[in-house]
This record gives sequence, C-alpha cells and structure tokens, in this order.
Amino acid sequence: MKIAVVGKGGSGKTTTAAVLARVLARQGRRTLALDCDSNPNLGISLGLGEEITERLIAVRDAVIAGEEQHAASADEVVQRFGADALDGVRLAVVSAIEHPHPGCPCCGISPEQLLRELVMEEGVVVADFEAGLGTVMRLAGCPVDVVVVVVEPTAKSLEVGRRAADLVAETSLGRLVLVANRVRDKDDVARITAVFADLEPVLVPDDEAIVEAERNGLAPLDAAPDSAAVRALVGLAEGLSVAVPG
Amino acid sequence: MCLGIPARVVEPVDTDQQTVLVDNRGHVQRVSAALLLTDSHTVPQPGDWVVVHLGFVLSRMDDAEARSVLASLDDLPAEGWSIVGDLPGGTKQPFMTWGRYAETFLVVVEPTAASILTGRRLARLTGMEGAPRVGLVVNRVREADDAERVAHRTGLPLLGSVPFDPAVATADRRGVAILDHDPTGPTPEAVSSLVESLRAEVESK
Repeated sequence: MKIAVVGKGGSGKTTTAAVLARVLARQGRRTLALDCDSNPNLGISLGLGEEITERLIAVRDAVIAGEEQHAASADEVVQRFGADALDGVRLAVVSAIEHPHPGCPCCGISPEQLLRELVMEEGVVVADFEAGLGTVMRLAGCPVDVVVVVVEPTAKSLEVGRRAADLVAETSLGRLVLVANRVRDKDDVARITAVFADLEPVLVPDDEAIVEAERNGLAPLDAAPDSAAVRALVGLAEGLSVAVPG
Repeated sequence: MCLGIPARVVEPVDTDQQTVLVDNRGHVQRVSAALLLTDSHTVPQPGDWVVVHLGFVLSRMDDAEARSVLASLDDLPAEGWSIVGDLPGGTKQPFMTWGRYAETFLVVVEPTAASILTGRRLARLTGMEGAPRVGLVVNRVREADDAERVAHRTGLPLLGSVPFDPAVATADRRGVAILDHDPTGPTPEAVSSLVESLRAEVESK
C-alpha cells in the first residue's frame, strides 16, 4: 500500500504521516516512512529524537559534499539514508538535494519517482511530501493507493486543499482522504464542509497535547496517546488498514 | 513573493521521466518538465532558457528576455524601498535562488523541536556570499524563556518575538490580515517593535 500525504505548509502533514506510519506498523505491516521534505523533520514526529533526525540529514549532506558515495538503488537509499524508528517503522530521508546526478537513484530522481519505483507488495509506504501542489502534479501518471490531503480550517489552507483534491480526482491519483486538523468548534466544521461538501473529512480537534509534544520534541503518539487529536489520527490509520488490505 | 527564475538547460529533456537538468547561475538542479511537455513543440534544447518555478519548468524564454529578467533582479531598488519576500517554508529557497538578492534574512522559528532544527540549518545563511544580515524572530511564544531558549539553540541573534495569539488563528480562518482583524492586538504590536529593531539595526551600520 502506498500512501501519499500532501497539503499546505503547517497544516499538520508530518504529524499525520508519523501517526499513520506507526499505527500501520503496529498492525504488523512492514512500514516505510519516506521524508520527502527538503527540510526533513519526520524523524522528530516519529519519536526518533533530534539527534538521529539530524544525523540522517548529515548523511544526505555528506553526499552533496562529495564525502559519501551515492546510493546505487532505491533499496540502498532506504538503507543508507534511513534509521529504524519505533514500532518497526523504517524511516528514510529522500528529499531533493542540490546538485543532483542525473538519473542517480539517490538524488537524480524526484521523491515522487522514487515512490513510483518502490515495490511494496505486502508492505506499506507513507510518504510525507513537500508542502504545496507540486507533488500532486509530479505524481500524475503514477497512482498510489491513498492520497491524504491535510488541511486546517484557514481560508488559505482550505483553498490549497481544494485544489489538491481536485487534481487528485482529475488525475485519478488514488483514493482521496481528507484530514482536517486543528478543528476548534462548529464554525470550523462549517468552514470545512462548505469547501468539501463532496467529502467526509476526518476531523482532528485542536489539541494542546500536540503543541506540548512538539515543543518537547516527542512523538504525539508517545507523549499524548489518549489525546483527542491522536485518537482521531489513529482511527484514520485503522480505517485505512481495513480498507486496503495487504 | 514567488517568481519564476530564468535558468539554462544543461542536458536534453528526459522525455521518459519528464525532467530536465538546468543551470541557474551555477546552481544545477533537476526540475520537472511535465508542464512544458504537454505541448511537444516546445521541448527546449541544451543552451535554451526556461522559466523555473519551484521545481517546474513553466515555459521557454528567449535569450534577450532571460538576460533582461536577470538584470532587473540585480537592479531591484535597495534605496528608499522596503522589499519583503515571503519565501516558501523550509530551507531550500533561501540558499538557492533568492539568497543573493536579500540583504536581511528574518528566520522565523517557533519553540518546537522541528522548528528549532530548521532554524539551526538556516543559521548557515550567515556564511553565505555577501554576508547577509540574519536575525531570529521567535513566533508563538508561550513561556517566558521561549525566545531566549530558541536563540541559544539556533545560535541566531534574537531580533524580536511574537507571543502565541489566538486572534491570528481567527484571522486566518476568516481569510483576513491580522493587521485588519486586530490592529492593536499583541501580534501587530510585537511586529511593530520588530520593525523598529530592524530599522535601528540597519541604521547603525
């Protein structure tokens, strides 16, 4: 199963991707979390801590600096630019780098192309993409199983989310799941349903427990497993697992 | 502000992967040609100029036009004008295309682990060609020591801080500027004092 997580910057993509990956791994699936952001932070949300998150960036930087060999295959990318996270999730940092070697599996192809090339079979890959609509355009022609569009109830975020959702539908990219983060009240719900009358969004309440976890550099799943926001995301992950077996 | 930047094609377009390698004044990057290839008559050749925006080739550009755009960027007025560029999130854009046009970088960090990590990466801007001024703005401050703590951990000089302000979330939900929504609230006040610090800093040089 291939899951792409997209949306406007700051909407909660990384938090969403991290919870999805760990919950799917807990269900016994081989799970790969791909950090496709050129400013990679997924490690922190997965609970790997700052040190390991930074070390993964350093390995990537060493390739840019010519101090490390490039990886020769997609599998080697996952091995060399990755680390084992909790619950058996494998994290790999595959963000675009400066001065790519054309065609090189570790830097000369886009994260979207890498996602296309990965053969998952029984396993799951959760790809946390760069903010904005570029990813959805670049993924066109290589469908995934699920595209998670993450929004918050602000005017700008909903507009970007709407365009992303339309593009996903137009290009038949995959099953569309809308996650609305930081929902405060029924006015927020009304804002979301006004823009997405055609979809049934997963509503994630605005939750101080997430803010607190992020301030402390902890995975929300570890720091606040019983918070309303984490429970909503866990529910989404369990739903996906049932909907797309294998 | 998000503009396309002229760049020169280095290698023939990879029509299978729909990508092309381009050179933006020494910065070579692989970008998507997917938007361009919808019209097969416009496939650019090595040496041709194209307009690149956030990893995509938007269109072709002729030689004279490309040189003129690059010249205008060099000529952006610095005297008597304040030009504020809101760059995309993350660490890529300041170092790549926009770095050489800015005199001052305001690195906006919130007191979360991920944001501090990003701020630390952006602290390297100080070492860039032209030695731009780089200052820290700590946003969504909740605890008394948040600003100092972020300054210490990023190694950036603190220029200002903005408190956590629920009015910002309300303004964003309504799609209005915080300056119009709550003109005398804590955020406009904090940003005004940031502007004063910045002006003092610029004038002291």
